[in-house]
Amino acid sequence: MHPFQYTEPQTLAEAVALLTAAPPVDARIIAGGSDLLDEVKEGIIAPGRVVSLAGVPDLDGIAETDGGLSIGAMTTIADLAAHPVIRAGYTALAEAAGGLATPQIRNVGTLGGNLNQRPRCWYYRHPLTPCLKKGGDRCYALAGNTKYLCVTGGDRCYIVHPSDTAVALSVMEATIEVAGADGSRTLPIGDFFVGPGVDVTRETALEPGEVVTRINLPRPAALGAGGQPPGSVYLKAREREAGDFALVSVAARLGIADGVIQQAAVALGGVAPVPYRARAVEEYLQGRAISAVDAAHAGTLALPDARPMTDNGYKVVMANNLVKQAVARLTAG
Amino acid sequence: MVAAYSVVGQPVVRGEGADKVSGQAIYTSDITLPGMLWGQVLRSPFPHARIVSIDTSRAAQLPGVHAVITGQDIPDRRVGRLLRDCPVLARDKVLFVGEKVAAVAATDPDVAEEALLLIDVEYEELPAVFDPLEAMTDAAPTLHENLASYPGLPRPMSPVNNVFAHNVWDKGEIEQGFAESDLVFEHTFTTQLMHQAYLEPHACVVDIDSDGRVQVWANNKGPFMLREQLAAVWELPQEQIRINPCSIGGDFGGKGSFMDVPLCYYLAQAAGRPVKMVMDYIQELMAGNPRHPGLITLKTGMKADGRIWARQARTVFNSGAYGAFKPRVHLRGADHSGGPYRIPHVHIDSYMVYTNNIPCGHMRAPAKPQVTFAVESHMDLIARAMGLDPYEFRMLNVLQDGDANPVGEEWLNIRAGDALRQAAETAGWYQPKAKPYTGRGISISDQPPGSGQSAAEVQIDADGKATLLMSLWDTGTGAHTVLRQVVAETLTLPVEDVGVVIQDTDAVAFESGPGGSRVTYTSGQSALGAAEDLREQLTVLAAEYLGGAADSVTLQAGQFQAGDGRAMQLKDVAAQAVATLGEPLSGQKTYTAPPSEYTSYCAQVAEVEVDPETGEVTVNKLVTAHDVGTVLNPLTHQGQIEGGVIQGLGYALMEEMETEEGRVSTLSLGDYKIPTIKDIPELVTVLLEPAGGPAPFASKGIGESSNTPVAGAIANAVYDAIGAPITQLPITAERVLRAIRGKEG
Repeated sequence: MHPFQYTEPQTLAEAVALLTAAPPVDARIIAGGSDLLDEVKEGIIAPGRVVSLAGVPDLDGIAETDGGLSIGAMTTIADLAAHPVIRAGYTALAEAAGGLATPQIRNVGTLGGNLNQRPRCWYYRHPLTPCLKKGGDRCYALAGNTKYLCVTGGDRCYIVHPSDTAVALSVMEATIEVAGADGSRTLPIGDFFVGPGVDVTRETALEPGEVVTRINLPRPAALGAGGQPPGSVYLKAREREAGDFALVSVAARLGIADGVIQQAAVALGGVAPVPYRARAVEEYLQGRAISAVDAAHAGTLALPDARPMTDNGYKVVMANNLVKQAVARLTAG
Repeated sequence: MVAAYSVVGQPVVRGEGADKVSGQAIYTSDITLPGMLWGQVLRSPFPHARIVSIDTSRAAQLPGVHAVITGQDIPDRRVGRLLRDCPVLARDKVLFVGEKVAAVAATDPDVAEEALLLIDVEYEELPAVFDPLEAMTDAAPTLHENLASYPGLPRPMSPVNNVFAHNVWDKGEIEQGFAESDLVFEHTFTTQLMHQAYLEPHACVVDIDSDGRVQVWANNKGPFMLREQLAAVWELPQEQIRINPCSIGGDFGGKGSFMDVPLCYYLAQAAGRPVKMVMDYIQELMAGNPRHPGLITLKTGMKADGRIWARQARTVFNSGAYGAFKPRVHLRGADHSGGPYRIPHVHIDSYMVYTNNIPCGHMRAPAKPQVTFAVESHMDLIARAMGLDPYEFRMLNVLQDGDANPVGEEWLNIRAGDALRQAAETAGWYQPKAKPYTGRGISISDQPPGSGQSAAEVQIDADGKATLLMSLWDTGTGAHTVLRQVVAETLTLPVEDVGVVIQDTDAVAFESGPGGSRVTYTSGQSALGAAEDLREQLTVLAAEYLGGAADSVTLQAGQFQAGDGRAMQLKDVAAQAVATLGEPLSGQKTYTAPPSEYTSYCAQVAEVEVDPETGEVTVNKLVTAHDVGTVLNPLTHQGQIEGGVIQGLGYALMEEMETEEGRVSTLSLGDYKIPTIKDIPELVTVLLEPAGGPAPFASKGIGESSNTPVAGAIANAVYDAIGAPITQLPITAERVLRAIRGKEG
């Protein structure tokens, strides 16, 4: 394995400094390490320095705030899945976390790490294929097996974003707090992930030296008299019951008052290089009486712009059916 | 009547278990020698290419590097388990992505890896062929131009391009069989590349003593055969090589291969130091010796009344670049293409084909899971086409005691029908299904124990403790515990008083090692024979000490009893023997097992549920019924059954080494998916009443039998659930969804 310097800064400022210190050594952040170390061992990256966030204070834990929930980036996936407030009020996130990877990985993996994990595209992961994302000259998937790749949003590179939690957070108006050398900034989750059209070598808007510190979830807006807190659900199709990434997943959240859908948010995983907002489904549901909802029709609106590749047309069918199931479940009496 | 045993039949826990879970057991990668270097190999990125030049000068200059070698630096000889077709390092050409082209020995693994990056190889790419049927055409490149010169090549040579073994099994008159048939069915099935997924990747250490003696540590389950293979390629007398025992971290058929050992010797020679090589899992998945993909076409002639009348099978196995990793060159399991059915007219052709893919080797019941998936799926396709219940169709055709099987073998006490009946009854075959998209599937196969040779010695010391000495290495099956039970039973000792010492290859002439469900039979008989030999010697001495005739002295519960009532503890006899002889008394046995007269049937029923909207398959329950002999140890026996079923489930539903242009894409155990605990269904095991077997105490082997029928049972259950057959493994959500949509048109 490529050798690197391991550092454990005790403050955020120190961590940021270690990430950007000259001379540049391809410094990387390590949280749980379940993805980063794989990448080093597989020879995909060769960092000169690895900066642990374990010693940085205040990055761990889930706090209820005036505005909602604030989740430290170092919170483990297992803690997320088990948290009573998340289970009750942000169910899709708890379900996404609880069904992610394996218990061992959930115990060490963190939310920040999960949002920043690199794609599973096997051309990206393969030591013998210098693909575009690794700075190479071409996408090998175009002439290869596209079974696990995207059906929309591809642009020279056809990965899907691997994170389950990112899909759930996408329907919860989450914001991502980021610290860097120039202070901190907050990004809506929709702006946090960037597709290959923006930059083929990365999947997030993070600039060099930036660290995700917290993920904030606003408390769902009140839905007036007769309203319930919005219910949410996360469904995931996969090839084995644990330790598997989604073939296709869906997160949906519906705010319903007096039998009418007041707020609708639906996102898909496994279909695009970033979590995919199913806007057409949302438009169909928004303002519609639940008695008038045709879940199957909603499903057909999941991916209006899908352009499946040779081997992944099945994902469109799965997406349609999973959206149908999610909508049916949330609008059931 | 069941004989009353005291130790045999008890659920004795594994003797080596505590050492393994506490990290005390010694595996090959634990071996560290003074001055030892680490070896690493540079592998080809091309599936078929000419090596134009290799420049190792920069690598050789890296501090810490002690040797860099290429094919030009070592003798031009090939290695193989039988067919010697694999170069130790590629010389002129590479034939697969992952083939070894250069090797480095350095002071630590990171330096060795860094050195690999400094080796410059110039290749000239050649046209490659990946599909075995394409490889068999004259238009395909011939991958081994000098095939005829390879030692171990089966004769006569096949005239077909890239075919290095063509095996035929014949019974009756196939043309006549089809002519007499009322209906003919033909289907083609494909199975995938599958890795054994053992925990421990291949590893070896080679040290050359100052007198030229070569010391080898390797996780190879057949050390005596390894020694033969190494002696042949190194051109050394076998006596000059010693293979030293280690624990083996999982085998599943994959650990009979020489892998990096031949190369490690040349590195050790070049560096003048011991060298260790440990493959990582990327290398295992890129260049191990996985299970062969199969392309199996079955054509069956049927009588209108449901009797199978003729079966023609064509099995094509994609061997990849080399045939060196198979001990018989071909895969004998292709002879199961008729299944355990009465078929008067049978013709089976089995082809072993070179392509520019990863070379394949042995995996648990070689070829049987492939052909059994095909045979059992084919059975259901025929049954449904003829309006027959799949279980009743099997019962109509299954072999009866006294029948010859489709390739003419005559087994003793055939209980295939009993196994099917018990599996079906236990599974509730006729019970209505709970809901739509739920299905049941049935499947059956058989596994006779392999024959071989084994040598054992049993000593007894002055404390009355026995030690079994063998060269049978532990692959993780619990075999040592079972053999201790055999010895303990024979000597009427508590099992705790029997230890095992595993010897290196200097100790005995030969031991076949684990493989082909043979250990309980072959090594069981040698351990039993050695214990019986010791018991006889002890009896003679006891008679002498007790002053009676040997035939009047009996051994019971650790005590010799003379006819006149006088008695002497076994341990006192042993102690007196040590005092008299100056060394422990020892019994010995070398056993050469004849082909077994018994096979063992395993019938299974799977119950699945399919999500018609995503295609995901959930196996809810699997019943596995086994035609067993005496169960020597119910714990280890059940462990083999459960492990085999789970591995079969992975084969059926998820495990696949995907390749593109010969390059394996699934290079991690995240992408190559083996079942997790959550994928494992309720498992119900049914053991038929024990009824004879060739192994000690009328027992049988169990290592492979539960693995073979699983994919057929699950495939048939999915067929039952969705109403459309899936003829390609693994049965992934994507394929199920496609099959459902195909059916809906």
